[in-house]
Amino acid sequence: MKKRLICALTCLSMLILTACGGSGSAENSLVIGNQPYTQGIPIYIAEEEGLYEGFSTESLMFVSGNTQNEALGADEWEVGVTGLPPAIFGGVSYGLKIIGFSVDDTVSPRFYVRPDSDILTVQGAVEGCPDIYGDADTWRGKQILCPTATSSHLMLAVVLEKLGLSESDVEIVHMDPSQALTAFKAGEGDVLACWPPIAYGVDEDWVLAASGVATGEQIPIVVVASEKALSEKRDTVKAWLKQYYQHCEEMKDDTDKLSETLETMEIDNGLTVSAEETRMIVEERPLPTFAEQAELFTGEPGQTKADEIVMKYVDIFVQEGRISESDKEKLISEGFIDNSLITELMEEQ
Amino acid sequence: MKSGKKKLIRKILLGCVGVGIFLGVWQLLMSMGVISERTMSTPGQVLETFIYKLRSADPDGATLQEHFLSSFKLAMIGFITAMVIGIPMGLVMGYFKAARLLLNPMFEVIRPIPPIAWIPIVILFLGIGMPAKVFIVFVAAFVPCVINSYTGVKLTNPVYINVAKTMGAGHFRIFTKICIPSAIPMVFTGIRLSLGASWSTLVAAEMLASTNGLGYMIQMGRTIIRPDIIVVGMLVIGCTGALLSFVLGRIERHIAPWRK
Repeated sequence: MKKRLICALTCLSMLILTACGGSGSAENSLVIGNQPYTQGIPIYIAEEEGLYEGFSTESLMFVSGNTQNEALGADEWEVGVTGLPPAIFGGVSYGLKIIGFSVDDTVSPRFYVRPDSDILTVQGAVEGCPDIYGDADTWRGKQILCPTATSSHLMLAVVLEKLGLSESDVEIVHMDPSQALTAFKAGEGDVLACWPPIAYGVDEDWVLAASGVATGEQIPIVVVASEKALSEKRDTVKAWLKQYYQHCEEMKDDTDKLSETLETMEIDNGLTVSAEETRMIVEERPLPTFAEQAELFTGEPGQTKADEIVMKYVDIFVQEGRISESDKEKLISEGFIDNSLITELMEEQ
Repeated sequence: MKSGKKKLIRKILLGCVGVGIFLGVWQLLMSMGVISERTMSTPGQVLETFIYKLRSADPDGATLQEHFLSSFKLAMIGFITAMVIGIPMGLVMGYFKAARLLLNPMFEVIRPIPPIAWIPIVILFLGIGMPAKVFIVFVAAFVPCVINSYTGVKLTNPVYINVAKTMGAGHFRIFTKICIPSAIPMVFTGIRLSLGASWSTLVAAEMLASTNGLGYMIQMGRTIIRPDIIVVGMLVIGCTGALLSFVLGRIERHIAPWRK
């Protein structure tokens, strides 16, 4: 009796353990990895108002790309939106694919200095970037409070490159941006890297010494799909992608609704934000259109404008040693930037 | 003597067998696909990464030695400071009522606050350098030192104290000659717990602001999805903690030889 009980319990445990794993949703359903930021608003509204046609969805909300990638490793979601750095790491480790761009994140990375910083003694030293203050000498040796392996970090690398410097010429202190803001207010560090809404809390006399916009480069939020979803339910992913851009275009001019929804999303996920701040955020980061995707993803695989934009940042990560040259080769050979869905949608129009 | 040597060899062998079984099961679970290679590295990959990190700063910006030394310095300063302040404080609170009444209320308030909750305040008062991170480790390590030292004194056999009083010993003499020696086993237990807390708080302390350290290395491993780097960091923290615990055991045996 005892042996049978032990055997039954063991079988039950094994059954439970094997059942615990990836989401494995049906062919015409998708699990979406969403984020409580501008790019996630159309997904949130579509779920709330039942706007999706032809398939069912379930959304999982992730405050950061790190946790989103961890869930991807466990096959917990299939399509979604995320920042470019986590997408790159997801591509290397889990075969994640970029199938489109979402909002333009270039306006987000901002680098502030105090009014007495020697960086402000020079302006216009970087050709073509009049809004980048300082030169190689004034930036060299500076302590920069910046969360590493993020869009801010990538854009910082671009700023340093334009100044003729590399990461080894400065001291990058990895900090959470809200803690970095507190530390900078307390007199720590020479340069503060942050993004909205945290950037809305900077002191009035601090100066924007550099930014994503000032570099003239572009860094996107990306629309992604797991390798598994693309191989097992490609048509559903394509239908979702099409409707995501449709919803973006329908909603993009309704600033009131977008900002209210963003405020709700952020507060529900433990982020502190005001109505005024969400309005500023949605105004600064308009939703994408399909026409923009057509322009970015037109061309032979590996030779589109989207490839050029993304691979620039892949190269930065290779230079920094975050990923290896063989990881980059793997991204290229496995079609990290997959323009096939956008191409098919263009042909269907 | 011979049987002592045999016992030592047996102890070491059993330890090695235990570790070997653990590694074997780990490798087996991964080979069978029970644990996915997407989410975890094999023991071989971890060893490869360990050796790689000894000579390369990629992908997290410093070699393993640099990370280790940074964390070791941080953990040890926090740990030693906690011992130097916490043990005397606990001993004094345990014997002198006035000290207990004075210090206990504040201690009871501070005790449940998790170290990570101190980060925003610490940034304002101590900045983002070593002192701030040492404080986070100190807070974690301080509590076990105080509690165990206090308890050690409280557990002193009252018969010894009464005999000393009968012999005409004053409070200070009773405290130093009877209570403190009596409390040594509990003090060492507190030190051991404090050592563990110092190392386990490293990751939280290095979240404050880092350019290197084992906690930073683990965080970077998480960000760039490198489970091998995470495991190397965890193993270095674990093995260092175990080694320090062993050293502590040796010191305790020397100071309190009567304790088995």
